[in-house]
Amino acid sequence: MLALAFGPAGLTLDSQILASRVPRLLLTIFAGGILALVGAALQGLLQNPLVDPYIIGSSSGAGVGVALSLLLGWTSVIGRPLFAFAGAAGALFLVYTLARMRGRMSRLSLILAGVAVSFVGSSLVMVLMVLSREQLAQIIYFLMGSTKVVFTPTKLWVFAGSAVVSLGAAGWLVARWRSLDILSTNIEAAESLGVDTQKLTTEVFVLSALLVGVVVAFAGAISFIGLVVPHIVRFIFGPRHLKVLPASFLAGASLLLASDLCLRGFAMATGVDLPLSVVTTLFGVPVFLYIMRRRLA
Amino acid sequence: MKNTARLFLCVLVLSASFCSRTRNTPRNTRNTRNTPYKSNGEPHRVISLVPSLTEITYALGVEDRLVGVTTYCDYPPEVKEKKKVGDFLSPDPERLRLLKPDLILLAAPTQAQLVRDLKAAGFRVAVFDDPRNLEGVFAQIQALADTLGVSDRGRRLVDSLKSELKGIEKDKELSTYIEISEEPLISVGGGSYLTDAFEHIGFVNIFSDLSQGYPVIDPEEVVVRSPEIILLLYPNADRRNVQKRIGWSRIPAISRSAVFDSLPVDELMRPGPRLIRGLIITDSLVRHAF
Repeated sequence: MLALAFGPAGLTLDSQILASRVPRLLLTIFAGGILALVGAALQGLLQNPLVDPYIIGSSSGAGVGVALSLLLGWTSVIGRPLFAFAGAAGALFLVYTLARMRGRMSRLSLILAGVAVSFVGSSLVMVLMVLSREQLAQIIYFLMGSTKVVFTPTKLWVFAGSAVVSLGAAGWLVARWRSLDILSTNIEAAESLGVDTQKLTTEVFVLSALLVGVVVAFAGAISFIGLVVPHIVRFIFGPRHLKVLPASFLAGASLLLASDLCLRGFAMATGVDLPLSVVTTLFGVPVFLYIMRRRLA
Repeated sequence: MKNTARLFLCVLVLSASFCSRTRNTPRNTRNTRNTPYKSNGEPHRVISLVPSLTEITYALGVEDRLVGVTTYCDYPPEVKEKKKVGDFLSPDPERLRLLKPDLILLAAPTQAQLVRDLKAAGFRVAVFDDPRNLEGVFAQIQALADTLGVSDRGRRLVDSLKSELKGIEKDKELSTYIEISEEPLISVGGGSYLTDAFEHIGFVNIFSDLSQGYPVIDPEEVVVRSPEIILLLYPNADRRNVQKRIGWSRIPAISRSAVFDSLPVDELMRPGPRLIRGLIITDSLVRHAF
């Protein structure tokens, strides 16, 4: 599947403009992979099939950051990712503080605090959108997600640096596969088997929020990948996190690459530019339904 | 995200306002229609819901008839003293009614829905089609002058603008990439009056074949179409950032360092009487550099 997605990208490559395509390709792989992996980890942790990476509030936090950067005129090539990441980190801090009660962090409180912060963030974005008027279209476009980013060398370095750190964090998540497996079966059993569920919850949550923050900072809020790719992967590989987490990364990257190619082809054929999230959904849902029906039949 | 649907709606609204310039009538000078109301004589309490129409009203010297404007109307500076009735798409109906207008100025098709609502609410409206070319800008000025009963002033204004425009020497043609937003990358398409306006001063838009007014474009397209000059039409634009873009170094405009920021953005981005001045300033900035 990955090879398939790479093919057409290579075929349409014009050697002269290769340089501008490589960063986009890397960003697409990175964003799709991280979103799916984080989705898989959070679904495993929270034992909820409807969880997606945005439920913990960092994407709307990043949205607030971007809207603020536009309002303050801090729109330099690295100003925006920095603001987005700061917004995501702020939301993470808020959710973390709200979800902790008497020193304990329950999974339910995490989801609810995340949803609450998301809604507050969305409302703040709306307020900022009204205030920034002319940049309205830019904020909306950002929130719809796009990997069609123009890179300057500075931005590329910032991206490369954050991507390397992020992949490290992703590796850390994968290393928690055993605990996530045990937690998925039974939380009481997990406690008695020596899994520190408190520590695990905090770890997975913090890492996920930061990873989503990085993705959103560069590619905006691309929807659908983080929600559905883990399900597709579990249908194929079963529920073990050692397989699910890396496979989600690969499948997420492939799906986003394929979507990006569709978008590109569509734009070239018709001159109309679709938001990336729309394509991921239209492209991914049939795949998902096909696999679901075959597996559940 | 929970509000994706709402956002999508916003995008639809926005894209509708961008795309809308592309459909209907072929380019011609008769692209302004007025709602008939002449029987009641000249309007004296006018509300403008379009910044460019507000500017034209001032340029015609009949600003004393304006009783209300939008929060977007910011030129000339005196317009700040006028009562605000809300924004461009959703003015406050109560404030409209309190001002007792005898005419409300609107643009179509961007404000088509608002036009219907206001008509249904019993307001008298005059609807002006968004100009698709320079001739359309002049026609709009004349049409508004006619509507306000100052046709002669309209003719004088249009004549002086036209003669100013003639003053620009049409030099060698230059293929031009116009950028109005950096992230996402938005350019100007054939559907916008700007394509035609820039063509008048010899700047040929590389995206004139796109029917949309303001298309989001792929950075690679710019490389493929290799423009000779690049105009950055947004506040805080920085040519250095554009020159550093990865993969763009072979674009003639970049290698010859013909990227222009600090252009008269406000003048150019509004199809009003200041447009010609904007074109003159841009022309002299660019031609000086060559």
